[in-house]
Amino acid sequence: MSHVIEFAQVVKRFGRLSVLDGLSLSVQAGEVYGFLGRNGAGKSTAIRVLMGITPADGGEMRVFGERVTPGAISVRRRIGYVAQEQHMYPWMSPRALSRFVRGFYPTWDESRWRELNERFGLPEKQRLGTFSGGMKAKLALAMALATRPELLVLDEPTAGMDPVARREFLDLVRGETEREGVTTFFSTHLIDEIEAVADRIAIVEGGRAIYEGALAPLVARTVGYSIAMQDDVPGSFPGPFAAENMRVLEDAVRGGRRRLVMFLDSAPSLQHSAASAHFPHLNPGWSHESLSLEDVFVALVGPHARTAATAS
Amino acid sequence: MATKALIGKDLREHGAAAIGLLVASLVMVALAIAQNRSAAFSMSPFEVVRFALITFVPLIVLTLGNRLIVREYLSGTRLFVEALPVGSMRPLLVKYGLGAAFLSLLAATLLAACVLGSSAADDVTPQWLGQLLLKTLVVMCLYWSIVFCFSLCGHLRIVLYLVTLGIVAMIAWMPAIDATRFAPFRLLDRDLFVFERDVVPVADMLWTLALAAAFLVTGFLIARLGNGSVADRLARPMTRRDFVVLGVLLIAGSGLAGVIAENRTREPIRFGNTSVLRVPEPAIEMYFASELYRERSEAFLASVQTAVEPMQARLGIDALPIVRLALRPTRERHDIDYGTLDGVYVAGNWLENDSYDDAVLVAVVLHGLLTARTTGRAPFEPHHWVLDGFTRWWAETLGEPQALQTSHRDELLTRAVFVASRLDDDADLVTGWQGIADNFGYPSAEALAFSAVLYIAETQGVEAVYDLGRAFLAEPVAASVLGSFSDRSRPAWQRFTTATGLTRDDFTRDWAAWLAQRSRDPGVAGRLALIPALDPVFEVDSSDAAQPAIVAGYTPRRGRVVSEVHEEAVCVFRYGSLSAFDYEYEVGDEDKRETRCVADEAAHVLSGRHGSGDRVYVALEFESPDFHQALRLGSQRLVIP
Repeated sequence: MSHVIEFAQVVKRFGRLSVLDGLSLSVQAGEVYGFLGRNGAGKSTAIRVLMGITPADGGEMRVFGERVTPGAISVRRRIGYVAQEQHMYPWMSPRALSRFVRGFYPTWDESRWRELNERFGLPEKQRLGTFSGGMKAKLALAMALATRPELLVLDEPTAGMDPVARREFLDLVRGETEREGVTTFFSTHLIDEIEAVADRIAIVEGGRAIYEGALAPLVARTVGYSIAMQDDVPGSFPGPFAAENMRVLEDAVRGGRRRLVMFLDSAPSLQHSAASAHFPHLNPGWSHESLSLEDVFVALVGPHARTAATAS
Repeated sequence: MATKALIGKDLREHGAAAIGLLVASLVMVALAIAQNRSAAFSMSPFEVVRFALITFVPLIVLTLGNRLIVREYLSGTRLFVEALPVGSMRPLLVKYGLGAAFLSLLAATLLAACVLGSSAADDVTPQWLGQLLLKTLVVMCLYWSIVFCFSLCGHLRIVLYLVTLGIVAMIAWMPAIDATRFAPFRLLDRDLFVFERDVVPVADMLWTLALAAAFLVTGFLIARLGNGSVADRLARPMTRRDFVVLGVLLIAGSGLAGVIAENRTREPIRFGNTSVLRVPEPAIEMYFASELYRERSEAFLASVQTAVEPMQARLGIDALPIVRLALRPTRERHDIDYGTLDGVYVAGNWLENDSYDDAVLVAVVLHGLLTARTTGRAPFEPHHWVLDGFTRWWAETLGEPQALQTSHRDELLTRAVFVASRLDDDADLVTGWQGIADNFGYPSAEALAFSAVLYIAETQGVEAVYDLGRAFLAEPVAASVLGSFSDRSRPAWQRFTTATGLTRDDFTRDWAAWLAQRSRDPGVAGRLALIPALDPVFEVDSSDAAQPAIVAGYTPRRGRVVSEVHEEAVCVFRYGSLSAFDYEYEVGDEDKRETRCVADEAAHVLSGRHGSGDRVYVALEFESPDFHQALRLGSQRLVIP
């Protein structure tokens, strides 16, 4: 399967601050790709590099197999983009916006634009300055889709939306991407948004991808255990096997219990039960905890994980 | 397509505002042209373009920058455009181009309005108009490039504008800096900008364009720096630190302005304690150079004092500036220095004066006093004839008509009649007065103005003259905007009619008729017969292209017989080089040639002094012991082909 997006060891620095520190990932044609990361992890910068707005300082970046260079607008013409904040001209109406934007996209589909506006319930002649945040995001999505893009890039489009608007917007994204089969690069820090739509994800932290792949294996490879503090024997767990085959993402005391979250590095096929089989000397007090995707995400990018990574 | 979309967007967003600015500019220009028309001889309507360039055009350019660029950056809509498939510089280039196009339209509109407001006297030619348009466009290009650059500096632009304003003020006002020596200031020179017709200031325009290019390039660099992150940072709301920096700069600027103002303060003229006479009220100081001249100087001081005191009382002037008179024993009688910067300063030689010469000098002192008193308003056109006529009349009469000596009256009226006889029948002696002064010299123009005031005194009574003086010569320029508007609401002729009881038409017609009658007064007719019946002729002989010659001479005046010209009388040819622009020119004593007053069309031939393209002021005068001052027969401005 051909790659629509390829980041290979992409580096971007602002002064002494490394925002992208060897980011590598690839997005295949037709897939919905979740780009997860905390605020400040480098997601928006990665997208600016991807769009050719900001040049990378190192590594290689390809979109549609074409090397992205700053100012290369041929790539941008094939991308539909929904920004985190909608800085549209407040004096424009959707009709005026279409008149303006269509000049930049040879593939602009006016009938689709009208159809999407109607479907999204956007008044054609109302000034954008009077639109709510949710309406503006829908308008941006309609605009991105009306360009008949080969790649849809969504940069945290639901930031600042209330839960209802957010849900509505995500439904629209899901519906439209399924309908069009367009490759989608969905950046967010909200894992539940991704859970619903993404085929594959990358989790970015500190400017590099710490996980890339499907969602299910990620959850499967992350295990959690807890024990009441009075039952814990210091040094008895995780033990030699775990030290060799797992990365401890979190080792913290919460609510009178010591909690451990571990990531199975070298044995992607291991299941929880199998893992348990490798812990024969577990004290009876240890119990397995089921983790949500959000728990996994927090464990992967949270402060404990970073402390562990620093220590290692 | 993308460029078209960007242009279309900006036109939709700013089109209405642009039209509004254009209309507002036209209104301003129309008002300025109307004002210009009411002020005879003071301006060409095209000076309105320069006026616009130094007053409201910078404000229009600021508005343009604010709408086209600042707004885009401060509101963040730039980020929306940035994500569109368009080169990062193209939106800015489009904006710069649109701004330049609008300013070009504005320049063309301004000039078109001025052309409509011009008359045949302005001699509008395509070449000259093209030169004006070019200069206007270059100046506008500089303004727009500066604003374009600063607009990309976000909130910092306010500081930059203040600093720029401070620098411009420093250059314009610092006595040590001659701003007219370098571009772009020289391009906007008060005289050259409008009146230069022949020389295209290519170097000044190129320097100005280079400066504009520097600002433009800096602007684009700022926009590109850190992939636009610098411009974005500058566009964010000002922090406390920014405010502190702004405050420090403002304080520094105020300090600098104070230093400049201090440097501009000039030490006033002060006389020492030796060879100086002093009168406390009205304050007069006189430097008489040597004890040898004390007695004559005391007499002249008394005559000045005698003239000033009653005038102050009659005009109801509460305070007058100090008068300083300096004797220059080596000078000619009518070689007078005159200044009104701090009080009134007059330097001349009164040692050999008779009463007529004294009256000339006293009139100069009164002229200075009323000019200083009214902060320059009294000599302002179209009131200058009132000032000249009133001060001479007062110097001759001290406000009492019976004090006027017959010989003085006859000589002055002879001059006035002589000038009037040399003008066309339909010439307006009042509105054309300044032109008469230029053509026939100030002594004759002053005599003409004197005759007007004498006519008012004799027909309307002396109180009418006092009222005229109070209406035109006693009140300083209004100190506030409201005061100025109040002044404007009372046109000059309305004030004239209120003071004298004469309407404009009645006055100009009846005065001219009265003056014609005076030519039959024996004293005047006798003096007129002492003037040679000659008309001046001027010609440029360019048969020798290498050495063109100016030929001046005299032809017999039709309808008059040659009369008894004094045997010591001479006819004098005076000349002086003119710059590229026209204003009143007083030819000096340095360049002159004398001859007997006989009809000879080539009495004076001046060759080898001027080259092709030079402009020369030439005048023929009559000097005779019968007249205290030279009588100018005529003058002309010649262009050597």
